[in-house]
Amino acid sequence: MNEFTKSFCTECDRTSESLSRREFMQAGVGGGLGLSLFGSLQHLLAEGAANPEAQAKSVILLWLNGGPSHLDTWDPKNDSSTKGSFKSIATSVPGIRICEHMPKLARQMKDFTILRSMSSAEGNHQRARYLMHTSYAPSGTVKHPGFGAIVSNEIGSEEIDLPSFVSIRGPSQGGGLLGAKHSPFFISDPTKPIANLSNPSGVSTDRFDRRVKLLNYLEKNFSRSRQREEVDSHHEVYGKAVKLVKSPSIKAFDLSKERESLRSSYGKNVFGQGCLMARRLVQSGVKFVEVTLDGWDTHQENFTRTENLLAQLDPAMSTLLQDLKSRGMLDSTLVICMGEFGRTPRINSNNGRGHFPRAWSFTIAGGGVQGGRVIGATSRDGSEVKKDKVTPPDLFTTLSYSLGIDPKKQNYSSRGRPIKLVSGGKVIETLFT
Amino acid sequence: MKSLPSIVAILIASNSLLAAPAVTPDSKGEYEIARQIDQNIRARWKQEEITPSRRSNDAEFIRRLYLDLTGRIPSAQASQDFITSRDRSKRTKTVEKLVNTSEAAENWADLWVGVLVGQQLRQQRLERSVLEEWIAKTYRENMPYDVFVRQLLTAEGYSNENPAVNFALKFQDSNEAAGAISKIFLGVQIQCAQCHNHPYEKWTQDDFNGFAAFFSKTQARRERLDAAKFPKALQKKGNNMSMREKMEKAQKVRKMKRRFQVTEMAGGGRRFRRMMGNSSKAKPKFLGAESPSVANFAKLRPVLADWVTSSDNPYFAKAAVNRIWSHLMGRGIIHPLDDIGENNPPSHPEVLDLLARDFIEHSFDVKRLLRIIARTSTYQLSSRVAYAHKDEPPPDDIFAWQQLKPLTGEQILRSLVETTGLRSIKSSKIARNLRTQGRKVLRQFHFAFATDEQEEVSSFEGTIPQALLMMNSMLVNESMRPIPGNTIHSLTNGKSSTNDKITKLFLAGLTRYPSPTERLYFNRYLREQKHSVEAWADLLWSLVNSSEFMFIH
Repeated sequence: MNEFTKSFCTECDRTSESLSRREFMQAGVGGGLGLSLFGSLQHLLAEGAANPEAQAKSVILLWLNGGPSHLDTWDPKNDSSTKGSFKSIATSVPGIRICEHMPKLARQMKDFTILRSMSSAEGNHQRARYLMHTSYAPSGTVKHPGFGAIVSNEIGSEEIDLPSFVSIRGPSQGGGLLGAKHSPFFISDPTKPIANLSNPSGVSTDRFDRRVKLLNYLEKNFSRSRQREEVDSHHEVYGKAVKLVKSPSIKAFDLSKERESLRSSYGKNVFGQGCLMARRLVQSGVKFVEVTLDGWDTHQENFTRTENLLAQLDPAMSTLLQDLKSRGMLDSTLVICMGEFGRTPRINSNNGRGHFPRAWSFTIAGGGVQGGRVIGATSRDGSEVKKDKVTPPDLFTTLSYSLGIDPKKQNYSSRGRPIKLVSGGKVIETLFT
Repeated sequence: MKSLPSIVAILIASNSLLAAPAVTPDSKGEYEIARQIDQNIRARWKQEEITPSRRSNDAEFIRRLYLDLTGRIPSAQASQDFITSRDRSKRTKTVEKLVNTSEAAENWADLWVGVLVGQQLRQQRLERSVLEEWIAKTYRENMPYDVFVRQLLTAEGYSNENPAVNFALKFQDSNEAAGAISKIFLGVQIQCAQCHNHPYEKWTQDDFNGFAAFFSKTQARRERLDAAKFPKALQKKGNNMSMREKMEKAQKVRKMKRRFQVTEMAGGGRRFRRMMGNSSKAKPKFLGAESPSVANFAKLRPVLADWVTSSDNPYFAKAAVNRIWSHLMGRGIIHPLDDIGENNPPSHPEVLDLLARDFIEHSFDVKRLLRIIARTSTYQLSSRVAYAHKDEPPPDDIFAWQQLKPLTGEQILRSLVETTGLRSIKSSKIARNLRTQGRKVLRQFHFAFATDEQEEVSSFEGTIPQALLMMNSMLVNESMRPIPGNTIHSLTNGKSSTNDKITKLFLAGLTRYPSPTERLYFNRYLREQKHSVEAWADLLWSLVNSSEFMFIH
């Protein structure tokens, strides 16, 4: 119980008794936190050991920036006051229904699982984005690394020239206390050549090498006189950038190498092509790719806007899952699709929905996760978690488990304070059994 | 008991401090404040047996001062003039001069627009550039800081007409506004208390809700205008207009259509059902203080602004001077600077009090504050750690040396323009090209260098895209082709000796003279490359990509 209450309060990355007790009571009343959800796998983590049977080797995060409405995507309702104008449709798994605007994903329901019982405590975009990238609430004193940075640090390989952590369209989350080398490599538009990746005209490889040699000479002098880690960090980043420019593996960024038919089925838009690039990057050894689909902050015109966004998400995500599966990569690639929170059941006068962290949904596939399931449930109007509540730390502990990373391992803040990779939490065991 | 070497070291160091700036007339009492700050900081060094760094040399100082105050490095000529000047009060005079430049106003606006609305260039509702221009104007006109904050807190009107409303437009609801405003202007973090009582600090959920309640009568909404309501000038049919006029008109219409309006209601107990209001029924309450008695018909934000900007407010002046101190020193006296509280005490409480008191007494004069800090010997220390601490530098919070501060995207861009001599290009295809591409380039720089994450980071976080931008971007490489007027052109066409040219190159790029070995190394490179134009460009390229260029030191 102690462990649970601790894990619950992600505020300030400290334990707050008043919150955790109250929330614990709520969870108790909901009755969802039985051993069925958090059970026998825990001993692995209790020992501080990583999962020896870890399957996932990389992660693709489809980030729905702004916070998608759970009711208009993965958790459709019939309650007349909140359901809005969308209908639900049946999926390839009997009994599971999702929003009518995701027909392709509905056909592919067997490949992924929906969690309808996420509950978090941050309702501000920036803070919630931080929480859903780090498992910690922003504290002002420690800068927690994004999970992409943690993955890069734990399982990234020095032998690969590509950055271990790539963010397509940002904003994502930086390396924090792990430093610049684990911050994401940003790609602003996957359909265009990556800015500044090749030498400008007139600069041959030889000339570039000469320039770098001159630069290294200057660096040595300045670094000797200052002895600051900032200078070393600058040097390290340049080293990586130089290696990248000269690497043959940068063709992973070149989508023209793909079949036209495949490119179209991902969707000929920035997000669809971003998902395709994510697959190419993972194939080339990149460990964490985040692809952002922005625009979910639907305070106005929720339904028109959500429908437009789903028209991009549906082909992109379904093709990605299929593509990974047909190449035998799905078992080793975790695919998560989520935003920073859900949206209010209440529909406002602008036909929009507000921020809603208390109960919302996300989906997960690959990396040993059993597809074709729904875990958790919300109340009739979608405003409360009724079954199997999960928290942000649970999600990140689960991802760690699948990747073979020990979530209790500690890094140190600049003030020397030990910070666990994940802020408590339990493995969502039913995903794997 | 101190060891003998450390005593000697302190003596040497304090000697070099004493030998520092010649006393200049101090009619405004600024030097006296600076002196008292130094005294306090020096006492701590002594107490903790720390050997401070030496005083910065002129080259180091002038580069730092230009970057901190005007947002760019000095020109080669300006640096040389400063370094060779024999005026004993040249540092003080230059501080005075730079604080009053229009570039200092732009630099001030860069700093504040980031603090107020974050780094993202495009945001849904607000007009970032309008806000930025206004901030620069308030600096040029020397608007007292309390008035500046008051205007931001109480602004009403349209986003394209009253620039200050763009701050309010940043927030989706009153909770967000409450969290940001307490953090920015009071240095107090209350966001945690939005959901539960703060475990370590004194703030409760009641405090948070009471503070947020001040925004409950304010609403932000998009104005829906039909064309018939546009000003006459914009209703005219465009038949007789030139292409340019048509485009200008179209842009104005676009702005009209997407403008937002912020209004505050002055009605009794009524609240806006949503918009900025939240569902909490809390009564407005100041942080750590009582509830004000507000007349039923009064607006709430002006009441809050009175309290926030009051000389008696325990946080306001301290938070402001701490922010500016941190801007110049690379670290706050309270650090992180927006986390004032019992668990995060100031490293030098007396210095903070002194600066805050002086700030209040001189009607929140921002330029005075900048001048005082820039005149301290502490600010003017070298960034080279003293030899006595060569194995382990003294802790950052003792201010025994100057921190390294990474240049912001804007600072890099402005400094590149200076270094490569783009400013002096008269008319050429490339200059035109660069101008039209300017916006794109700026966006690239902004995207690569200014992320919201960086605002609270204490240590430098460079990234690969930043390095790629500096190494391979069009701007960097095109500006290093010889174009009449630019640096490479004058280096490759001038008649002076190679040695003089190398000196000029270093002054333009790094604001200093080359060391003898650097001179030899660069000379050898030029010989190997037969003094080609490309070889000079390579040298300049290496300078702007170096850490020495990328940091304020």
